Amino acid sequence: MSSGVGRDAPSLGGSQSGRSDRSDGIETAGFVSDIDGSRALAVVSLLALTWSYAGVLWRVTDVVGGSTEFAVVVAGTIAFAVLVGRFVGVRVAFVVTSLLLGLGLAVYLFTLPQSQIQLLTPERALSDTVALLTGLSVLRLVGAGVWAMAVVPGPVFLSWYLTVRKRYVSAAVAGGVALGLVVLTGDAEGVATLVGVVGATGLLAASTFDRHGTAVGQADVLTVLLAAMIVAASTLSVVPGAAGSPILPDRGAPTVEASLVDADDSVEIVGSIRLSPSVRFTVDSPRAEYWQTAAYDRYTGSGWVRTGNERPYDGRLRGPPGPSRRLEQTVTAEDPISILPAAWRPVDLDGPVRSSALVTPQGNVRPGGTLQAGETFTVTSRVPNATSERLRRAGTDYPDRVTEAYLQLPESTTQRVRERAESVAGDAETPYAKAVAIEAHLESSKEYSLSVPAPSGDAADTFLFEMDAGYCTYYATTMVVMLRSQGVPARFVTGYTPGENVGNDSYVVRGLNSHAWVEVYFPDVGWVRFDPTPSGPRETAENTRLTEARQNEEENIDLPGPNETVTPPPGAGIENQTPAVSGAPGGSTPAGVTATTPASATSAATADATDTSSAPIGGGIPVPNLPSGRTLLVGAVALVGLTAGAHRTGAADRTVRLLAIQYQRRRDPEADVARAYRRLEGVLEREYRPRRRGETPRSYLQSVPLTEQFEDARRVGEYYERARYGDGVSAAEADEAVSTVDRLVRSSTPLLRWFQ
Amino acid sequence: MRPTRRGYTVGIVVLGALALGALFGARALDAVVIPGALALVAAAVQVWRAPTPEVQRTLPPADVPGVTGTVEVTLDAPSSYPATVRDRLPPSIDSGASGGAQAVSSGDAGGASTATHEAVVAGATDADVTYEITPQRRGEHELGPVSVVVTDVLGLLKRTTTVDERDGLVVFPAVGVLSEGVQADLRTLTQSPRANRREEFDDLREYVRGDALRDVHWKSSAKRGNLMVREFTAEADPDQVRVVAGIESSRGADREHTTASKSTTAVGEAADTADDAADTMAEAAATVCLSLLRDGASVALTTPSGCVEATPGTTRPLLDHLAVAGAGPVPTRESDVVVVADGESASIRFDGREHRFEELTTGAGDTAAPTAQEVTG
Repeated sequence: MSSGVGRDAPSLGGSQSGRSDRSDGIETAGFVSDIDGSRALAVVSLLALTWSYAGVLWRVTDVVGGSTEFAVVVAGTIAFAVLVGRFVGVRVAFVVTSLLLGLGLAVYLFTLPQSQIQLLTPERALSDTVALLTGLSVLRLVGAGVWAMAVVPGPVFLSWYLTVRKRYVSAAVAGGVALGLVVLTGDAEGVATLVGVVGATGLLAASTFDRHGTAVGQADVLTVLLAAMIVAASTLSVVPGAAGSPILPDRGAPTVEASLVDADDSVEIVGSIRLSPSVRFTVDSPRAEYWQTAAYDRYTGSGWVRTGNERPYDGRLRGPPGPSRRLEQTVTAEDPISILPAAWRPVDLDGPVRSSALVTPQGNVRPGGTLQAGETFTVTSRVPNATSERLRRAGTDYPDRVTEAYLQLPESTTQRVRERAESVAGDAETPYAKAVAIEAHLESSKEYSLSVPAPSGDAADTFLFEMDAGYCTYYATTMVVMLRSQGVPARFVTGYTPGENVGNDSYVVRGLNSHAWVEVYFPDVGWVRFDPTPSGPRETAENTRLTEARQNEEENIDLPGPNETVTPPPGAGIENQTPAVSGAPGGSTPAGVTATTPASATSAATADATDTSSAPIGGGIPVPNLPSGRTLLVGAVALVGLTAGAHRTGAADRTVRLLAIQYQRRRDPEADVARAYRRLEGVLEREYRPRRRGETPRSYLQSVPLTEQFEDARRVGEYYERARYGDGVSAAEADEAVSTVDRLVRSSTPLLRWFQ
Repeated sequence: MRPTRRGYTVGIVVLGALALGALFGARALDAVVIPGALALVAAAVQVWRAPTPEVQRTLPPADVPGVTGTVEVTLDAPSSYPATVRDRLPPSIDSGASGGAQAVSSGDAGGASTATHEAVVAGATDADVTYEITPQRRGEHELGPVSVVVTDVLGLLKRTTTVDERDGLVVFPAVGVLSEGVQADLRTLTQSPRANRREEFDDLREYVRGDALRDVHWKSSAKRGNLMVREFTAEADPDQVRVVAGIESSRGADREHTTASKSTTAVGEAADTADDAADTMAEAAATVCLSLLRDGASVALTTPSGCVEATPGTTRPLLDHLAVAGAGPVPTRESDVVVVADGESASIRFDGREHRFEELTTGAGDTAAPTAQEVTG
């Protein structure tokens, strides 16, 4: 495409080798039989590119189910494209691609639940697309698995078809669009993206190689380029906007700040975190409760995602189906927050935020924008207070909407996790007993710690079998996974522990109070809270951090007023409905779940930022970006690149030649002098110029400028002539020649020249 | 240095990713932006550092129109890089598509085309680009200059260097084969040139061994009692046939020219017609001359563009002359053979008779044309 020539010019008039197959290769020879350099490069590159985006989408299907079908679809599409590629024209292929995409869309719409289809209008579809392209994870789609399977055949077919047709650039574009999609949704990680980009680069190079017939000649340049890309992309960061979030529908014209702040649609489980002692908000409530901000239904293996679309708040919400107790709370923001913390289950909202508030499919309320410090709202909740006896009798008659969303587990969930859950809770007869057993097991078998390495694989598996300690996110995640594997609907919930009671039914909630716990569904009762995190060590860690902050006189850790003196026993006011949480004094609790905090504004509980740079509040995780294995790999790639670069510039050749003249073995005077003379030529070649063809040694040496360095060179030349054509040289003369050349070689060698 | 379409696309992707990252969060866009930007920088370095190659062109041997020959372009540079070579071809030369060339009408200079080839300019070994050309007309055609479009390994940027390497390709007029009858007539012309050449008679001298019997002047011999032979002027070659070629002004092009000279297209057409007439003239003259030469005669040819002589074995000057001979009226009527062409056809006059050229040939001269049409079509 570089020149103005026709795109699929048969090309190549040149007489280069490695150009065996011309344009007729497609017709006369098969896809496999006529592999040449450029085609091999193209196929490998396309594999990398396909792997990058199909792998990301495969992860999605792994989380929500259907990963085997997905793999079959991808493999089948590739096979189909390769088969069809030889016989079908480009126009037909484009029609096939459109059909595949249309079919995928139809299947996706067909499988959507009725409630979502009702929401689907053209505007809605458009705004959903915008949301996806601005960073809405695919996992947040209700039909994420079907969506992934619907999207993937089009680009896979087109790119493989075009590669069979040797239209590598178009293939790179087709694959690149798919890769761009998953990068923009934020589902592709850096490594996968880099692999895909390297693949696309390889396809471009394959096109050049194919066109110009230069398979080998430019390979070193390409190697240098790819190595530089990999090294630079793994070590540098240039894209601004560390924190951001998708433009979501139903946010009632979000301000830029709001769109940046509320990143609470997903939770990543990370390694070590810090606790922020800053005050987030205060709650005036007659009872202490866990202030819930979000519930998550979909477990990805490395974090949590909330699916479904929010709807605007329009008056009272339904309470829990079972017995409950009314609780009215007044929340005052002390920091900019973009959450509406409330005890489960909020039913009524009052205050300025009411008009713009949203309700998540999980039943939580969220603000339309950001609450500034001082803004206040009142929320009425109906807190379930079913007795444990009632919970035991609840049975397992779950509604479909609960089993559909809250029993999901990634297909990659390991068998040993399921077995452990079975051994812990298998004997328990009721879901309630299972929940209590798992909660007790986790509380007793794991230590509480904030400094833990980030899990490498599935978080629950890692926590159960490879870690001795963790914090609330790990406990809660593992408990939900174990419960779900036992067929008990459960979900992951984030929010804040009650905080510090400063008297007058007032609670001060800080960043370090952010917490994650578990809710289990009971028929005719609703969601009931369980907290598997051992509370004692958690409080200790939080109090230590708070004391330290006070000693360091950090700002914004206490409200103005006399409340510093009041340090009541944490959690004293909690009335627990279930024995499960009875041992959990609220108190100040470490944040397992901390928020992404852009410089301007902060939200508190929830989504954990992977970004560690300058997160002054609630942020976390100063963990090295590159594990050592990856560092080694990048180093190896850099080395390969340097080698190729040395080959390209001829430095490698020069180095080899320099090494070859470093030393000579002594034999007899004549041979020694001849060898010394050849080494001298090597030195002169580096320092002066090579001897021309047909030039005699004598005239060559005479042409060398008579500097101090080379004044002895001519004597070596004389000895050489005598040894070669004359009456020979004496041993002493040979010694002299060799030592002269030794000296010259050393002075011409970098590093060594400093030691003589 | 300009970006190619690929280059623009990569640039847009990089800027777009940067903007989307700034607006909606970085995500994994670093892994797009950094390699993309790096690719562009690397492309700039590669294209900027690529040395201008030395170009040498080897032309196929001169031949008649319609014969496909191979042009070889050699590029030599200290380091290797991919490049596209474009050789400019005059309008009357078709580049053979079968050889992988892409003839692209550049739109200027009256339909001049370029032969475009992707190649790699190699460092160590010379890179050769070969392509086939099929000239459609006689003449001396200039190939070149060569433009070398340097590009990087990914084809993101390009830089066009023009190397002023021009070569002239001589294309002879098509030569037909005369029919047997006319050939025989011409042969008699060469073997009895006397009738037309009395003015060249110089002197009589005694016969010496080796003189041709046909030069014996029998009348004087009878008078003198011993054999006398005629002596001709020194310059005159006894076997030389004088051929003169030209265009009949009374018919064909000129008349049309005068009636329709107001419109420029008509002028162009008239010019074309004159060219066609000149081609016809050259072909007829070449056919006649070569037929004569084959029979062992020497030929002195006079065309509107000048004179040229040829002897058997040295026909090249004659063909070179006819390759470029232009249109014009018949220079002189004093000749053994007169070749007269008009727009469509030619006629040959000798021995006081006139033959239409088409009737004379067995059509061999035209056989090449359809093949050439097929190749170019």
